[in-house]
Amino acid sequence: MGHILSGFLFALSPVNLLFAVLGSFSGILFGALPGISSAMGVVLLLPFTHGMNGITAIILLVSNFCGSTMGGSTTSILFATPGTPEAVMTVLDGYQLHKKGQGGKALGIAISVSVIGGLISTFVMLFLCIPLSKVALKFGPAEYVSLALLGLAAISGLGHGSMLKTVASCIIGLILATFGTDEITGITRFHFNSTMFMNGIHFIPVMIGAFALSEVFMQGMKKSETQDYSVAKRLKVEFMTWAEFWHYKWLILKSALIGMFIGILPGTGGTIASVLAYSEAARSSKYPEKFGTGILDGVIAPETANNASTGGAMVPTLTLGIPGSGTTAVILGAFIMHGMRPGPLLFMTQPTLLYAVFISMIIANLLLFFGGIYGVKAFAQVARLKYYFQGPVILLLCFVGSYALSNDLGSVWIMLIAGVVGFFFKKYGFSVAGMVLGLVLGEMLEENLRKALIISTGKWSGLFLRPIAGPIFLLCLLAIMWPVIKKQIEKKSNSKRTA
Amino acid sequence: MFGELIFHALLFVLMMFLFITSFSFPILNIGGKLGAAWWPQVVLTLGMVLLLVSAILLIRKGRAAFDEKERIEKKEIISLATSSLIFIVALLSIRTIGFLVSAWIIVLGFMIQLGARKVWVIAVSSVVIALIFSLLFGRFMMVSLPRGMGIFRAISYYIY
Repeated sequence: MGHILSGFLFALSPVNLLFAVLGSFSGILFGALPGISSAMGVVLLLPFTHGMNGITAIILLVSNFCGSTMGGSTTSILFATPGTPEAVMTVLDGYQLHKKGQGGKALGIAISVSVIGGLISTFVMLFLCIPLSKVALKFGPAEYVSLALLGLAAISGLGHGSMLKTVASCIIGLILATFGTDEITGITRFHFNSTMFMNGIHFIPVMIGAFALSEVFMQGMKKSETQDYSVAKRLKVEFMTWAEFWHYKWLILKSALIGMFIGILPGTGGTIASVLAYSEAARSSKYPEKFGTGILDGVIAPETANNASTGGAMVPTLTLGIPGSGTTAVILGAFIMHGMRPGPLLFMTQPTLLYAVFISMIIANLLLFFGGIYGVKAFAQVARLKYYFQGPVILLLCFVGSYALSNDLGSVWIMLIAGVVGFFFKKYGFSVAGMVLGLVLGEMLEENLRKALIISTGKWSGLFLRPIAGPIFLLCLLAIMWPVIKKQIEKKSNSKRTA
Repeated sequence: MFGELIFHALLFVLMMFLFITSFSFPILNIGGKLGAAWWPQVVLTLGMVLLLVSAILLIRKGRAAFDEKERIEKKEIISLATSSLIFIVALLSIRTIGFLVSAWIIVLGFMIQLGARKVWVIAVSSVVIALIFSLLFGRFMMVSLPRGMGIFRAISYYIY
């Protein structure tokens, strides 16, 4: 407790506080710009930390990490273009809410729950980081397979139209995830001698194309000289009320815990956390069919989870010296650059400094409220413009967002193809969300499934009979069967009523 | 209905092509039977079966319900083709003319496509938007945007 208090005083020193403000505000800006991911934002700030005190530098970078994870939701909601990969699921309901004239509410809710999610996870981490990191180490390939399947089970909640087409869309996503180098054998699959496919298909250009570009294509018909702008003019950030907080308390808590725990697992991060939180929210909802049509639940779950994952992601980095994601790998590099080596030893030798990092994350999360308002206001100006201004701006954001992933025009071509395919998907009732879900989770599912089967010498029972994976597999089965069970229950209760 | 059936058929053919291609992956000892082709073949088979079932259900529904949809499609496809063409032209020429001019082509093309009619508004805003994006991402965010060749390359160094 003494170390926590010392860390608190250290983080509240004027210089550290100033850098926490700078970090979180710049993070919001970076996050809102498609193409500038959390990792890239941290990399951009890294040169400025030379000559700084080590912990002040880490405070700046960690605050930036928190800010950019939240900032990504702004363009997701306003332009259907995720600012960061972590905001990928926010597009589904956030953009629909904006189209309904509730963009201000969606943005306010996204800011509110991002702050709450970040605070919950950082507080928990403050006290439980060491035991939780030990649990994370027990996760093997079978557990990762069960998590990926649990995420895919969400498609039962995503099907507004034909369930068959939704599942087919998800399979298409899984197929796209097989492009590029196979992690186990090193063989490059479906590359067609083109560099465009050699590194695989990243979900960001596909997502940007299928959601944002196809939307601009569709708007091409409605000449915007006659368009109604009252929706955009009404855009005013409305934060979560106490009543709303109380109504969604369990969803927030559940999503924060999912985000926090997924964040701890190496190789996952905020994107997987938001996908799983969204899928769990859809699965356990009383109205799963409404997900993707523009409901607050669809913004709350992914936004709480992705910010909660920031606290979780710092756990293996600080306690074990294992970075859980690209961003934390850069932060780990910054630690080493400033003469500190994260790991169990650092907790013993410099506990105050490490607790100061967690306290700074709490401060950075609180600052997101203020930074979020100004960041959102700047982007809201663009949303007020006529669509013939907005459309080209969205297109250029799509272009840069895809290109900056790897400074490669191949990603822009993939984005364009995804835009055309997304257009037909929307037209013929296929699910773009299902395809993205498959693409995001595909690599994790395949790689770990094959690893698990190799370990168990091809025996499928070895996959299911594990203490952590087994119950999660059961939950998956329940999630898949739930729509059928629910129908049967409703049928029975209806027949009882009529009798 | 025909448009949707053609889309199903295209996806099916594409999956069949990938399925056949997957047999050409080298078989290594790593992973035994679960080689590089195993998972793609599993998901491709599933995908093809689902598409077939979906197409059969579509044919069973009949074409009466789809006539209205079909009429709208033609207009949309023209819009889609025009929009894609603008983007393709900009993308194909970007290595020569650089990001700044390509961005200008995209903004100009889409402003007209999206219904802007005032010439001075289109002329001024297309240049301003392209410039802002080049400055913001190229100079301030240090994204290495394509510079083009010759004079376009020289100009780009003044901006980003």
